[in-house]
Amino acid sequence: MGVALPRKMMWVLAVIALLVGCAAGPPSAEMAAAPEEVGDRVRLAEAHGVDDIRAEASPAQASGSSVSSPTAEPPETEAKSERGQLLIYTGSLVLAIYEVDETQERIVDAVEEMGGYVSERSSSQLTVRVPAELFRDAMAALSKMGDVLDTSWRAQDVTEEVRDLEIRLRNARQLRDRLEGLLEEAETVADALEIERELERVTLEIERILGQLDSFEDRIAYSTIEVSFRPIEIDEVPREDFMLPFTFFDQLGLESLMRVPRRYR
Amino acid sequence: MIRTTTRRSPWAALMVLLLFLFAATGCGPSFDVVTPDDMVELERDRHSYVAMTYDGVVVRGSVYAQGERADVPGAAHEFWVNATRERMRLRAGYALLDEQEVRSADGHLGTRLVFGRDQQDSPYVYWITLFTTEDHLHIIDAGGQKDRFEGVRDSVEALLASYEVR
Repeated sequence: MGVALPRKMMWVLAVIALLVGCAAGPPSAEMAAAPEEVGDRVRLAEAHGVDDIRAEASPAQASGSSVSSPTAEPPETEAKSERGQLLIYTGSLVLAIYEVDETQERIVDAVEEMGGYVSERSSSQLTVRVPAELFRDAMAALSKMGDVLDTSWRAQDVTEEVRDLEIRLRNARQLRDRLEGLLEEAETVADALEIERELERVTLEIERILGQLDSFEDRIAYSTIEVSFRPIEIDEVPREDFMLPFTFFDQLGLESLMRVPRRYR
Repeated sequence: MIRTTTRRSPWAALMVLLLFLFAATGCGPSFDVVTPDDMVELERDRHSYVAMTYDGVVVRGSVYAQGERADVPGAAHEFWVNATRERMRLRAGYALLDEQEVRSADGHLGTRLVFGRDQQDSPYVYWITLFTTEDHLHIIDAGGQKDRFEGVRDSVEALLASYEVR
C-alpha cells in the first residue's frame, strides 16, 4: 500500500535527481566559482605553502607523459603556472650500492631533513615522500647515494579531476542544504523518511568526495620517490685463498680418521 | 796352551757401520709410542701409526718432514697450531672445546686441541695433538663417538702420554 506523494514533492525530487545526474558533467567556463569551491582551493593552496595551487609544467608534462632517462632532470616544482595546473610528481631511482643498510639510513636522514618521510621500507626498496617543491632537490640528492642504474619521473596532471571533484562537492553540499530544508517542511512520515534516505546518500557522497580530495591534496603536496637497491656485483673471493696449500690438512677430521681402519679390511 | 783368537767378521763391522750411519742420518723411526692393551695396532712405520679399539675409537699419528727440501716448509709450533685450528674452523661442524699444553714422553712441549662434533644426533669427540721439531711436524689425532671415547679415555691418554718425538 503506497502513499501518494504530493505533486509538489514529486517535482522537487525530479529536479533533485536531474541535478545529481548532471553534477559529473564537464565544468563550464562560465560557471562562477561558488564560495565553497574557492574555500577548497584555498585549503589546497595552504597545504602547499604556496600562494596559489599552480605549478609550472611543460605541455608534455601536462599530458601526464613519463620521462625516463639516466640524465633527465625533473622540472622545478616551485614556479607558478599560468595555467593553474595541479600536478602529482612521482619519481623512481635504481641504485647500485655496497652497504644497503647504511645507504638506506643516509637516505632516510636526507629525506627527513627535507621535511619528508619514509612511507615504505624493505631490504631492497625505499619509498619516500618529500614536499613537492623539493622534489627536484630530493631526486638530485638521492642520485648521489649510489651508482644510478635507472631514473625516471612523471608529472601527472590532476587539475581536471580535482576541479571535477570540487564541483561535485559543491553540488552535493547544495543538494544537502536543500534536502535539509525539505526535511523541515515534510508533512508526512513517509516523506520525511524518503528525504532522510536521500540525505544520508548525499552525505556519504560528500564524505567520499572529501576523501578523494584529501588524497589528491596529499599526493600534490608530497611527491613520491621509489628508490630500489641493487648490490654492486663483485667477484667473490675464492675460499681456497684462505686455506694453506698443504694437502695433509685435508686428512684432519673425523671423516678421514674413521675411514682409516677400512684400509685394513 | 792353545791360544785362540776371535776373528771378527768383516760383515759384522759393516753392519755396525751401517747402523751407525742409519742412526746418524735420521733414517730411523720419527716417533715411538706404546699401544695400550685394549687397542690393536693396525699400522706403524717411520711416518705413520694407527691403532683402534674394538668399538671404533681410532688414534692416528702422522709425521711430516718440514724445512728446507721437505714437503712442508719450516714453521714454528704456534703457526701449525693456528693453522690447524683455522682449518678445523673452516670445516664446519667442529666446536673447539679446549686447548691444552701437553708434553711428550721425552719432554717435548706440544698442544692439544679438543673438538666436539654432532653428527646424526650423536656427539663425537676429536682430539688433535701437535708436536713441532726443527725437522718434523707430528700430528696425532684421536676420535670416536663420545660415549665410546669416554670409555677408553684413559687408554687414549696413556697412548698419547707414551708418544716420543724424535
